[in-house]
Amino acid sequence: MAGMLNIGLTGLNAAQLQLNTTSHNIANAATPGYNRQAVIQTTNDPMFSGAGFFGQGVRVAAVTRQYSQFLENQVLSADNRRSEYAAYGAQISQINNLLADTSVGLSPALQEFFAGVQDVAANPSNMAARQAMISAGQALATRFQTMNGRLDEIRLGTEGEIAATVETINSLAEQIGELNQRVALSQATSGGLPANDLLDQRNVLVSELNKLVRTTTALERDGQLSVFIGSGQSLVLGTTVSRLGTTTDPSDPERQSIVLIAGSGVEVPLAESIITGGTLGGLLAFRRETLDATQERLDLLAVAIMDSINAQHRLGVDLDNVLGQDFFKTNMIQRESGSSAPPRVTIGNDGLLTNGRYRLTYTDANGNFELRSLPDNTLIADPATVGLVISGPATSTAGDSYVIEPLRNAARDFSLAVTDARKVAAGSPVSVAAPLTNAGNAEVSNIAMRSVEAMSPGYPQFPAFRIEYSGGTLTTVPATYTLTPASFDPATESTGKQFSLAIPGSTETFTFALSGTPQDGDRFEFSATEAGVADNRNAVALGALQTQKTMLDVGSGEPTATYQAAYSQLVTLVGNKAREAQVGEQAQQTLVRQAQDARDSLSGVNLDEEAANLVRYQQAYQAAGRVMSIAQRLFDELIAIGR
Amino acid sequence: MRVSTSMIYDKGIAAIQRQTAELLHTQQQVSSGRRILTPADDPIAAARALEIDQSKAINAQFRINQGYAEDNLRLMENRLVGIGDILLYAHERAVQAGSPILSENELGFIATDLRAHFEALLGFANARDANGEFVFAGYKAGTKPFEGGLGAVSYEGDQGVRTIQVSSSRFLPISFPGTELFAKTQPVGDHLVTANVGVRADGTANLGDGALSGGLAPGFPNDPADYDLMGRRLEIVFNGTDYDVYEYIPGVAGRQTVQEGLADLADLGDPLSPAYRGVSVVPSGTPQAGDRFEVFVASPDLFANLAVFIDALEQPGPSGMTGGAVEFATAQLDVALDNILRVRARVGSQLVEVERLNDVGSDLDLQYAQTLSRLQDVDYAEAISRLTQQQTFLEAAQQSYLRVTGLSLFNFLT
Repeated sequence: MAGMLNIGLTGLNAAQLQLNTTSHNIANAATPGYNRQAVIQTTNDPMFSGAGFFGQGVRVAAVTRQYSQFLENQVLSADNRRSEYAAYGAQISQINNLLADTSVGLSPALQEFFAGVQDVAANPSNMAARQAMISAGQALATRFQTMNGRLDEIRLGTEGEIAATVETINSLAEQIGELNQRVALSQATSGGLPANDLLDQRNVLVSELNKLVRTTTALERDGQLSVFIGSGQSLVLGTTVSRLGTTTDPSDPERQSIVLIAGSGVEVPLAESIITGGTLGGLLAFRRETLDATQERLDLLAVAIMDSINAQHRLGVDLDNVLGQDFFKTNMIQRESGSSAPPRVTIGNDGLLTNGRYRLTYTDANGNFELRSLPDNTLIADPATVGLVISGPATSTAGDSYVIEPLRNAARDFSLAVTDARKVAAGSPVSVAAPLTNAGNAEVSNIAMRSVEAMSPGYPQFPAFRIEYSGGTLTTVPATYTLTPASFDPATESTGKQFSLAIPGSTETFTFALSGTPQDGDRFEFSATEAGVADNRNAVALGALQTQKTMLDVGSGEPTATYQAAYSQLVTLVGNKAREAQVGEQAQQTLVRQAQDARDSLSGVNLDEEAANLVRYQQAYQAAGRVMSIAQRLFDELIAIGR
Repeated sequence: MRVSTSMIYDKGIAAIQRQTAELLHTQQQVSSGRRILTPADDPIAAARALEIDQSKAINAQFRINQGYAEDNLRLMENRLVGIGDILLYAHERAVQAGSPILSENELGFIATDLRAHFEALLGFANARDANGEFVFAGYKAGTKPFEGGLGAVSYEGDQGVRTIQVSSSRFLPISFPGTELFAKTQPVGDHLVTANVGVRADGTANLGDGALSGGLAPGFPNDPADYDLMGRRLEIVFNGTDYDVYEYIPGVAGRQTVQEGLADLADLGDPLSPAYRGVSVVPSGTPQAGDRFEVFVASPDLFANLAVFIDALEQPGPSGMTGGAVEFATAQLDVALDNILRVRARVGSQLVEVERLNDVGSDLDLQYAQTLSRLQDVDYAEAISRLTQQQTFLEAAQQSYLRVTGLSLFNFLT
């Protein structure tokens, strides 16, 4: 009887625990990271009698959670990739949207600027057209600044998110360390039985951490979990927690790089390449692959447009008959010390340009200089190797120095150098006249300027000279002017032949075409252009730059792209990256969902199942109670016998 | 497979969210009319659209330039017609002046008439456009290109030809410097010099059979000042042993003495001689004392030639009207007229070219617009049917979600 009462009691207890666990499951059905728990029942050790072993009821062996490390890892791995793509995608979508609108991109501003140039070419003497060209140039500069400003904002946001993510990682690592301690304590007191709910909580933290950065974990014998990031640097080792930190990149003050701060306070730099996955990996990859590339391309566009427009503009003459000055400017050259005139820096091969900084120091009084790259001070023997063409001024002071930053902040500092409409150099400095006495009908056309270096500084001035034709030979008078080639055969070349002419002190000053049939003694008189308000030759040449390949030089210095094509490539780059991020996030989302399904299939709470359990264990409870009431009744029978 | 309750909720919500996102994308496409909302939707087409957009803008700019060119060329043509009319009129008057019955007085009337037309021609040469710029001054559009009058007209412009880009490779000339129309109507050569036998001072024919033949001096021009020697008349009188040489300069009243008693006419072609007049005159035959000859030196400049003729009308030389002046005038006016017609033909063909380019430009514009539309624009029929489909799917997802989540065993536990 006593045995029966005891057995009933064990059943009652077991059913009660089952009901408790079922209630716990129901209560936690919506708790994130909760793994459903189950009670493991087993029979009590039997009692031996002469007739054999008699059962002694039931006992609860353990409460376990339905958990599979393998399935959990599947979810973690997929979710890590998903959040990397999500962070990348969220950032790049800002650039993507910036470029999406055709009315705010660079294209319309470029087109309007060249429409302004064409208007000047069509109406060179019209001040309104010249002013319109300057206004369109201003609009182009503003567009560069606006786009760069927006990219700077995005960069600021990215840096902020990197810092915030690092903070969150630290906080999660801290909590994992604390939970490690509690798990170790709980499991030590429980004799090694799992502290289910604490483990679940730690799992949630690990999965949160995993969304931020890729980690690897190792379970220690005492139930503590160690977390490693990067290539095995420990973030959490038992209860010892290291911290991540951000520090300013020495080569770029606007850039934060990641360091690991050990408990001792020692900072270990973490290379960007080993921090992958998760939000942090996505942010770093976005900054490295897309943001840097976009800003560099925008800077390159600014520099290339400035360089080629300036080069052409300097070959022209303005309304006051002064040689053209720079049309656009950036802060490429900054004075560092001394008062010598700045060097003239142009782009030789824009394919070789980098984001670097260089120091130019004059070595003598004649504008000779040496160039060193910063900050490592390596001597650059030939500026052409870094894509630059540099010429010093005529006089300089040895030791004076300038800092040259070809690309950095070019788009930010891109601005108009010409503000006076009269200073638009629409004309060409060389004019040709065929005297009235020429007997033939030959004419010179298409004078295309190559260089104004041999002219007196600032002015289209050079001694007049002439070319005389006689018997198939062209001679220059005076002979110090060089004409190549020097022959013209009217029989075969009357449709036009190209010539190149160099005035003394220059290798090539201009080219021209000669056509028609000259007679012996015919001459062409070349002279410096007198102020001609309707001279539009240089404006036409400026306009032609729109469709000329001037950018993205390949190895030999051969340009391969127009401004527009270079910008389109940027749009394609960003579009492709954004699409990659979108598609990647969708694909990973599907993987996450599948992995979660597999995990939840095992670990998730099904309320119907729990409802059925409630009924089932309620009945078990009632049955065990009935066993006890029967035992009591038997006992009552026994008492009655004795009465 | 075991299903947990949260799976039912999560999957249902995820499906609804995905479908809502797709529906939103389609709705944005329909409401904006654009297939590519951001470059990420189709990176290649987005970049291509940018390039086509630039081509379209450049094409539009070329069409604007074609408009400028056409306006300029049409004005140019009108002016050329006007200039041609004046030259034709002067030609008629020159022919009329050849009539032997005209008195000196009547020749004077013709001269007065032609003087007025000379001024009119100068007016055309100094024509301004709507911006107040001189159209025949080359690049020096702010400078009055033709200065002076009957005496000498000098060209102050330059030989610049304004061009305008009307297609990717064509730079169309839209102006002509004044030299091409007025100052350089023909090449310089011996044909500019005509030597005529005149009559004696008393009006009777020359006694001897002497004649002159003329050409330009060797190496002409030897000096820029030589240009001024063109557009003159020389009167050469044989005085028995030597020659007396006089000249008529338009705008200068009376006969000017070059040199009297010149032994050798070759001095007229010798730059070192004070009698140098830039012509080489070779006598032949045997003249008698008092025989007179007249040498016309034409100029490539049509103003100079017209001035010589007007001067000849006012101060007839030894060969009179019929002896050489009329022939000189008609020949030179023909040359000038031919030159104008040549330029007109060029302007005409350029106008045709501009019209062609304009046609091509509008075709291209349409083509670019179509390509852009194909790249960027949404196909409404497809998009709206997609929208309807997605809406149906979303509604189905929402309804089934409510049904499934409403199922629970707890509903039956009492």
